Amino acid sequence: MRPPRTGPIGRRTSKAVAPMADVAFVLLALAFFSCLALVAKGLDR
Amino acid sequence: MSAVLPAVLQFGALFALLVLTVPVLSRYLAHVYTSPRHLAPERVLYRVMGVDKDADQHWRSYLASVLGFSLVSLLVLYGLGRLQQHLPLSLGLPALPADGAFNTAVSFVTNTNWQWYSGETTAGHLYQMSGLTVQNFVSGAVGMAVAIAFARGLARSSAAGHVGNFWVDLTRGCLRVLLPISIVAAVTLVALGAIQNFDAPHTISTLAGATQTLPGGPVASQEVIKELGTNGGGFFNANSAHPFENPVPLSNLLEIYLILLIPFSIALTFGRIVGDRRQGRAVASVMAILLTSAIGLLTWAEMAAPGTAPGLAGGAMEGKEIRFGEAGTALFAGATTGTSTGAVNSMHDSLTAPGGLVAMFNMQLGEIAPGGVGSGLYGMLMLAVVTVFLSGLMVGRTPEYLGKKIGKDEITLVALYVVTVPAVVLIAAAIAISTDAGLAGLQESGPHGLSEVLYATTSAGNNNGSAFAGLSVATPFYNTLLGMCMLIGRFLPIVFVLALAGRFASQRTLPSGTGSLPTHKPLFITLLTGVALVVVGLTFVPVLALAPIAEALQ
Repeated sequence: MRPPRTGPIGRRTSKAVAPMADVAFVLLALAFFSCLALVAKGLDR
Repeated sequence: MSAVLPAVLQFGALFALLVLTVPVLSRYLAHVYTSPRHLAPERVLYRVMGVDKDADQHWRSYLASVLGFSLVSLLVLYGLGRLQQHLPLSLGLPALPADGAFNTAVSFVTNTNWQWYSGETTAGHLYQMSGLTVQNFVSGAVGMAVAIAFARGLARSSAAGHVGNFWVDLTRGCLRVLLPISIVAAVTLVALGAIQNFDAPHTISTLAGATQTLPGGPVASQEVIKELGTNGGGFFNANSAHPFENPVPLSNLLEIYLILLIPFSIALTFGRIVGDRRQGRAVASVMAILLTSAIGLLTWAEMAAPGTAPGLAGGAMEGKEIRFGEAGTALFAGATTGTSTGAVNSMHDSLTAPGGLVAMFNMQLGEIAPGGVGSGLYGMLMLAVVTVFLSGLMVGRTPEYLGKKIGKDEITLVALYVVTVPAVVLIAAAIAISTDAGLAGLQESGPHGLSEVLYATTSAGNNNGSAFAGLSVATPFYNTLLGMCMLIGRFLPIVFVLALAGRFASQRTLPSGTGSLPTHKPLFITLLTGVALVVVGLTFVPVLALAPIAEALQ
């Protein structure tokens, strides 16, 4: 729970990059949960 | 006074507290999750959420609810982190970076509470309260709900795959279990010296003339659910080593007690739900054997550390708080890694090599001793199915558990469950040590460096959250890698657990015959303990030999 060398805390990503990173992480989460739903569908035979 | 005496006394006090209260809470939990009566505030919530409170969900519908709720929670928490600078009570702190917001959102939704950041310099009060603390409650309640659904699957006969109502289980877990205990415990913690306010940091002058910044915040209320829900995310960077979170030895004992209370209670609740309390006692016994062994080994490893300084200090005191001593530290470390808590009252990177090995192995067991709230129970029950299956193969017994046949499909699901987390842990560790971005985070080289990486992926994959602090993880690489470890390690096993629950619920419960292996007797307890150790041992011993074992032998 305690990383002492936590690097640049509270840093801001540049405005040009941030929206793309946000989209990427949101899509990653959506893709992951979609995959789980597909796995569940496959198991329910 | 002998150095061993405080350890024995603290363990004895903890044991007595648990023996007195766990049976009472287990009975209450059984009532909560089986009562047909809905309380008035719950009915209001169901109406607002549009929930059919009396619906009995098929396992796939139950799973869809778990996943949907968790996905929405993740996105909301991510948004709160990214918009922090616009939120009230943000103390002027900026937004979290995208990778950090993703990691933290995943971390708290998965009940891991891994923290790449320092709470006091990164997270404002509103983000802590409305984001992180809320997830401390609901992620714990989700784990309990899944465990109860699995118990229902075993208890029901020919129920066409129906395992209960997730929304009712979630609501009752929060309102009837976690909230009331948290309120009482938070007031107790405040009385013991933990802080609870909305203050911004104060800068003060010390007697020596220096300046010091004293942080404030609603700490006690987050601290208790952090332990009770086996979450572990500290309000401050130092976590439960911070005097504002965990001021005195008595508060330390209270926090350890809160960590272990629900995991042991829900094991006994399982026995009540399946209609045979001996089954719950057998499962809780295995948990207790494994936990006691881990705490004993940890205490010995830290007290018997070689060298002049540890000899004079009565043990390896680097990274430990004097006010807790070796006994209070080892007890906490055993409890936090045996469950999915991950809170720390010492710096685990400073544990001796054997001590670090025990902490890591405790997590690698799958956190079943006694495990996270709910997740410990379903993890242990999956191993119980393995035990029954292996016993059946060895002695010609019918492979069945509580009247449910263990066929090809059932054991396939269990096998997938068993290999998922070790695969996540080992593959992630391999990625980290074979890439420049991963190696850049290492503080140490050699076996201890490997231990730092292995501990991190073990902690993330098993949803623990504690860390070997030497590893620098505040990078996009580690935030993303460990975020994915947490996601897969939490939700893929839940898919297999609920699928198996549905299969069991669909089966007709067979009467116990002469060919059935009794699953409440000492023989089964011994076998289950052995299976837990062997399954983990076979998987992790090679890498442990290269990391903490090699370090201990140097």
